[in-house]
Amino acid sequence: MIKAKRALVTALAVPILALAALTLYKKYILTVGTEVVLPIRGFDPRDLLAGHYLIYQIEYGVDGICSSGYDEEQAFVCLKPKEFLRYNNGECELLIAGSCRNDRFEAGIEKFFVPEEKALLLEQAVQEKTGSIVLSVTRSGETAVKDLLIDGRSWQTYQPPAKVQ
Amino acid sequence: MSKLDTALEEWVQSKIISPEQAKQIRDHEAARPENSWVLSGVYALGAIVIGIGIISLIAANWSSIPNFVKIIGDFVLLIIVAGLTVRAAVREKPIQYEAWLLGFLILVLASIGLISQVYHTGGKIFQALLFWSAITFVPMFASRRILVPFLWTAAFVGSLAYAAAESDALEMIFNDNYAAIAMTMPLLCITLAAITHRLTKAESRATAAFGFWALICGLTALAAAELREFVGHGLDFSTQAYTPAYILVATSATAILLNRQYRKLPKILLITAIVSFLIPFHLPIHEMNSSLVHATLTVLTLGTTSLFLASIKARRLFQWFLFFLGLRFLILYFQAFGGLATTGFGLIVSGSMFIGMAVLWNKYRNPIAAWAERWAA
Repeated sequence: MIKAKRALVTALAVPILALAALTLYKKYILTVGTEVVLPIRGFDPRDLLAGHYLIYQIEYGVDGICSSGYDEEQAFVCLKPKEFLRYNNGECELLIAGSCRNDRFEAGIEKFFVPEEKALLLEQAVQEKTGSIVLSVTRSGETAVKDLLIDGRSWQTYQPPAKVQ
Repeated sequence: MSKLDTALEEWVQSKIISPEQAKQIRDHEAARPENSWVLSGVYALGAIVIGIGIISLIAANWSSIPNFVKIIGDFVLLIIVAGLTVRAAVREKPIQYEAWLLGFLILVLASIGLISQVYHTGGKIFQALLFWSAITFVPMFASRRILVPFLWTAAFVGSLAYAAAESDALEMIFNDNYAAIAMTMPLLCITLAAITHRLTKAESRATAAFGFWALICGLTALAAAELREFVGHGLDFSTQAYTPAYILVATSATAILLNRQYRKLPKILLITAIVSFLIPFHLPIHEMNSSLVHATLTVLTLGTTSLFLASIKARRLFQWFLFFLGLRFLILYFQAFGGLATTGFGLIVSGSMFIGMAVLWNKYRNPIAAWAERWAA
């Protein structure tokens, strides 16, 4: 039990500082990383929406990603030159770190949170139009999602076509 | 009538205290605001409801508010709630203090959700909960009541069990061996109870919360092991999946042996209970998977745990474990005489046994507890 005032203040400061560090780390990845735009498609096109986020699969355009017999282990997708790597060989110019799960490459960037009021509209748009994701990739392979594009435009400026009466 | 009123009435009747003294005690207790469990409950419920409300608001992901405003607003709110927690502590308002502390911890969880939303982080719920557990470990110790440590340990143990089955790192160790995960969880709780006991150098709320979950997880694991055997799945022995449990047994046994608060007998009883708890999970090695062997070992584990609880004078827990022991004996009767139990005669015997057990339990629970305490002392 913590009784002293100073100890209590320190104890309460720990989570605030940890959250601040997490926020700054995410901001750092977005700021220093190289911008990459990659097309996306849904795992299950009938149900792209889970809660208020879109779940999608990124099309890296790299052959042999998470081929059979390679599961639940760390892996890398190299975008320059395009190849799938089991280990970071230090020769890749643009690297995304992740892991293979159920023959699928996951880098923790397969979700895009959307506002409640636009959730269904964006789900339909991603199903019907060309969806792509803007990523920020650091030199060590850490990745953060910057934006969701629908037909090449940010989801925030996307307007659904007016219905013809 | 409250427990205090009942006790006071008994003491007055036994002429231990006078009616005036009983009244004075009653007035004194009623005047203490921190003793109002109704007020505590309402404050805690309010804090939880407000916390869920904040999480729901964040989940709505309002597009009209820019991301940086959401993040700054969240940190300002965190600092305000932390400040109010400190203020309640300084002004010695224990109920308000607990409510603000609980609100602060829920707000930290909501903040993780907000950061996840703003930066579109993937990740699973157990990762968020484990991160929350890690960063709120120290503030959890600031609690002076059981609710906050109880909720924290529930989230921690639950998310860790989920992680053992789902996370890449732990899945490599456990390899979907759910029996091994079930066996490991109570041992982890015992080890953490021993560590928190050592860190706080006293019987802290966190120690009690970990101890509670050790008992709950232990009972669940025993039931799961027996049910797996009962439905014919059996248990899969795996050195790799069992290694964390062995490390935890060694750690917790060392901590128990070094514990200065326990005498020799409670130490022996607790270690015996841990060892007998582990044996059912090793029966596949000796090809001894039978319901009767499992039942005997469960009875042994429950029996030694009951005696340990009596030896540390945890009377209510002792009574619960004695009840579980009786229940297991009753199920053993069904296992041994399954055919009989399906007949009308068997059902009459079973019903009579239930009533008889309840009567005996009600009549002898206190003398049994007193006997066990004397024996263990």
